Amino acid sequence: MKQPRGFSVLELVLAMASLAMLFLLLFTIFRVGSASYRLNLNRVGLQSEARRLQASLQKDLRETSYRSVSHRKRQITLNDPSLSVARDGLCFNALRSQNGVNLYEAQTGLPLWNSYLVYFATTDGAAGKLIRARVADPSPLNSLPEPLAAFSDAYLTYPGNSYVVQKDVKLLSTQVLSFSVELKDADQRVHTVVHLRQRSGAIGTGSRQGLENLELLFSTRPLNTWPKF
Amino acid sequence: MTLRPRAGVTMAEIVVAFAIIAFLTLALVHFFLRLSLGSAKGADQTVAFEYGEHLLDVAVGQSPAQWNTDEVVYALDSHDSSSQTTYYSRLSPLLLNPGDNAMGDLYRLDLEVWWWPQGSGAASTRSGMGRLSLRQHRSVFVENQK
Repeated sequence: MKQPRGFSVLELVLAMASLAMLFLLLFTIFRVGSASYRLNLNRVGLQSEARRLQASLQKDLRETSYRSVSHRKRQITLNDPSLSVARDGLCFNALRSQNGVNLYEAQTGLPLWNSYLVYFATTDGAAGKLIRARVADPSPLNSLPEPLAAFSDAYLTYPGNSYVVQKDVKLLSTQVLSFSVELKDADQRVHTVVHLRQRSGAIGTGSRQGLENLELLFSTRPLNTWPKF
Repeated sequence: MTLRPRAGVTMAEIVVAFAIIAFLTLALVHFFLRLSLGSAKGADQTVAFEYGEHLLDVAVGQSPAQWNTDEVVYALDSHDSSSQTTYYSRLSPLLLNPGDNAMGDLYRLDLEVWWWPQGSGAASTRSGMGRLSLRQHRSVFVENQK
């Protein structure tokens, strides 16, 4: 009797089912692996961004005097999810450059403040921007640190901030959920809470997009403060 | 009569092969999940370190009478939105020059921060997570006010 050649329908169906299962497993590995890679990449990126903006803010704050620091509280309400978040502004004395004899008072060596730095989070939607902008000092050059008298919400706009000098504007982050500042007069410190949030793929939740968060709490003491408490 | 080797595979062989592949897939998926838990731990450590520095900065600005040595609990977001990490901390001041305090007192501030992520995205067991705490120190000289 001659052996039948080829495959029966049953064999074909079984082979295809086996292959389908194999591909499903391989696809699962690939999907979870790539989601894990993307998540970890976003997580590291968010940490780097937070550390970068923290370094910038702390460096500038340490160089100023606590007497010159002022802040504006702002809140916005987000729709999805319903959440009220802080988007504060911070303003303090600064020097345009640390080099140059004329920038320091001859007798005391105190800095002759010639500009202000403004840090603020924009209020445009869930992903706010954190901006560092240098604005002009309207008062004559002096070593007495003072808060910017005219500091208002008009200084906390981006883009199109007319107070900016020398085009000195830096975009520190585009993923700010909240930026909150508190001045602690008792020990002359500036407490800051920065909350960054980024959309990222979540592992094991299908097509739903996860949200990656990072909240840093830090305090800084302006070192050019006199008298110190 | 000679037996001819049988061609193809039996259903039992296929089932065993698939069981092995499924096991390997599960192991790989578990590996990727552990990897993301590892990066979440890294994020927790970053936030814990800055939080600890903040607490030490605040303590340095205070007098010894104001130092809070109780356990402090604080919640911060440090990774995915489905979980929030609770940070616990305890400050332990240690006087380094007892009796020798003509100018002032030298203290070492020891701070321990430990944490545990909570929520649906967090690890359900502590197994394999390693150390979930940080120790930070600061020396502070408190001048006599007299």
